[in-house]
Amino acid sequence: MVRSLLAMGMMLAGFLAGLSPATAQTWPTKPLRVIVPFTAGSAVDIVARAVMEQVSSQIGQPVVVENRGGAGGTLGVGLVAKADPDGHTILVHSSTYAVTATTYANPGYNARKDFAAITALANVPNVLVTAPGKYKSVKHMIEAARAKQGSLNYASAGAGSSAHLNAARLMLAADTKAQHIPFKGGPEALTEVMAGRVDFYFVPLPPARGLIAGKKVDALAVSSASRAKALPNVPTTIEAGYPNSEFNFWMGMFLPVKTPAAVVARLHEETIKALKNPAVIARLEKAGAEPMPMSLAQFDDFVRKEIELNAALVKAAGIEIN
Amino acid sequence: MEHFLANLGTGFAVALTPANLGFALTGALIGTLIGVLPGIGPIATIAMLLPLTFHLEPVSGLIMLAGIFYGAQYGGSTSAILVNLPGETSSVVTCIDGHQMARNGRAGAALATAALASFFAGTVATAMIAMLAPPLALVGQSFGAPEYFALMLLGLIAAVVLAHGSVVKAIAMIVLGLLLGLVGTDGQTAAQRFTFDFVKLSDGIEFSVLAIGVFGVGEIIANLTRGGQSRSLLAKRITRLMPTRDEISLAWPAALRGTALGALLGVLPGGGATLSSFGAYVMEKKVARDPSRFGKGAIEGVAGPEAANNAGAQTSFIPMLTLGLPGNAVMALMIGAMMIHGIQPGPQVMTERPTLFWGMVASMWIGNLMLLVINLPLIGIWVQLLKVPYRFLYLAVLLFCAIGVYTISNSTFAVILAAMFGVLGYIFVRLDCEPAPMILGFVLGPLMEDNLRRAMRISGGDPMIFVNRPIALGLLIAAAILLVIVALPSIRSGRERAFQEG
Repeated sequence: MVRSLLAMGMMLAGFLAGLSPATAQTWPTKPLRVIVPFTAGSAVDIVARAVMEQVSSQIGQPVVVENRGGAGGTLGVGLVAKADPDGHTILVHSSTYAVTATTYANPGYNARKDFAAITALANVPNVLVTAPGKYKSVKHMIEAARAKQGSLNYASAGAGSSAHLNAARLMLAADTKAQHIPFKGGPEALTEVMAGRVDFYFVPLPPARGLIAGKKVDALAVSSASRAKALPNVPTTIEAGYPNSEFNFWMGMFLPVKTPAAVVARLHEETIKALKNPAVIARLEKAGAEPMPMSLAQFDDFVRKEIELNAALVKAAGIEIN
Repeated sequence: MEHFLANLGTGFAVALTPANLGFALTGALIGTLIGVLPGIGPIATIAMLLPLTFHLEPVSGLIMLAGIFYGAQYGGSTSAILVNLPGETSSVVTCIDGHQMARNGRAGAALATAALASFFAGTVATAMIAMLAPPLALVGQSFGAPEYFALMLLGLIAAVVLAHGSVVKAIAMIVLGLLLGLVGTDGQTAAQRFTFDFVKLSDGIEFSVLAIGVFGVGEIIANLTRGGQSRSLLAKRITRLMPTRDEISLAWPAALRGTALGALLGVLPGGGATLSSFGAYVMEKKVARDPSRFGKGAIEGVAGPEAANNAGAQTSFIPMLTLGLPGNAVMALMIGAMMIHGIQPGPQVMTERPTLFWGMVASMWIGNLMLLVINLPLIGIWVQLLKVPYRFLYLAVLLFCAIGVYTISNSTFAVILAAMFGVLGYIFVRLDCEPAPMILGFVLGPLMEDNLRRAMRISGGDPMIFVNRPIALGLLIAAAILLVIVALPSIRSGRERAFQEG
């Protein structure tokens, strides 16, 4: 009942939006609402706020970032999918968008069809961390895993999270297995790894950087295709001897697919401008993220490939589908 | 020691600049305000103010955000005492005796006790952070999944003591709380549980929705059914605002015990702080000479938990300050604020940025002082509020409840849910079932489940993990002993009365 009323409301709103052809010229007519489907303070949240603050000052409208976590981020995505496609409700998500496209059979939206991909915002390398002195190298760790199949375990920030898939990808590339232990969030997982109770964790760089510098955890490798600027001495997993083990953790921006093309173009233009702003670049780099501006077509293509890649990975790693 | 004083000197030099004093005051004021208003939490507020801190000195931004955090922790007790509305998990306990004190005309004393006990606890805990932060951080790290599970189990058994009615009812309420806590998406498999196809329920039931419904709205319905004169919130005339000498002599040892317990539990990031005020209440009831006074306006029931809550709020900064690991969402936001300024949160902040570290520690104490400065003069005004005729007051309270619940997730669904819990709360009042144990079950249940499953995964399915780890084993033994203490009177005599006093 509630749902059908909602649906009727949406239809009415959509109808009214369609009636006003001036939408594109006048966008934005009110404060922008940015949905981040993760908790406040998470890497995605920090990037979204850093970029959107600049966009806000460019367009002269306030931007309100709302954190709508839960169900692997699908709740927040569903919210934007159902929002008025007038460009005032924006989704900022991570590569998890491409993962949940497969791991959730029926999240209430279609990740392949319901969204217009605007641009990637930034990417953050995942770092493979372990307790200090536990393993000398990735090879050493993999040997330990092979010595007794399934005896090693790894932390993640939840089933199907980037940390989960990243570890699964390395296990697949190295042809071995390890036990997955999901946590509610990064800090809890890091505490366990630091204490040596959990063997390894592919953590996004920002929260781990201080701990690596303080020698509370060892960084064995980064998962990106090239080394991270912040950790020039840490090899990539490919360099460590495991081809096909690279994993991207990116953040990107989406709008409901029915948003007028002019609004899509304008938001894209403003966001790219913000991503090229020196203050924003500096802010992102300080937070451990590297700016990743893309054209509309590039990002659309990128997202499609990511979805297919992750679908294959989910299948190969035997991750359960809901 | 000399080194320590020099460090504190550095800190106060930073925190006592007029600008930073201003930020501490602003933060504490905003925090108090959102704490008093039910439902509006510190997380949303800090998230909104975050971009503002991009343009401030890092330490100023952090001082303000920290002020909001403990201001909100404190402010929640005001509405709990005055109108039985707990805004935060910790103030649920304050409702039990604090609101009874208000009904007895002792609202002023309850508010003053809460403010003074909080200030005292904050001072002690800040000193502890200054002196012992690194070793305390190690204590926090020694807690893994099995330890947390054992701690939660102990807490759950202790929840029986929260009620002053029948033990059977208390257990039933705890179990009901556990069930309500299960609603939502299972964190390990993402399966939906008890959501009845409502997408809005897939994040689980929001704490504030349950607490505001069961406590606030339920209480209002109960008051309205009484009718006539007795509707007034005041059963007796308001007597003097400050605590009497007798009350003080009861309150200060309680504040001392609460501080010790809260400071210890606050160090545990995975839910320790939640337990602190509940634990302190249970402890007070157990050490009291006449436990039957609890639930009827015992001042120790306010002083202990309030001290524990504030001490825990302070020491919960330890993992963040020493390791850069946030203990809760508010701190995660503060870490975000630090990173935007290019500060890498981590163990090296203490040595590489001593002015930031010690400035924050000093500002914690100043923030606590600000809370006292803001709140003591307000007591007179708050108490006057109780004199407002109930037919006006209840409407205002209901309105604030509705606004607060709505703002949590911007959904009317939450408001409807809170209204339903209000009816449930009224049924509880009629059945003489106390809601506090249910709230504890609700909060601890999901944490327990998570940690149990995590522990079993870490051990590869071997339950011996709970016995092989000394801290976990110790806590489990303590839980067993507590269970015996709680159950013994009934085993021995079967007399209901014996454990009604519990």
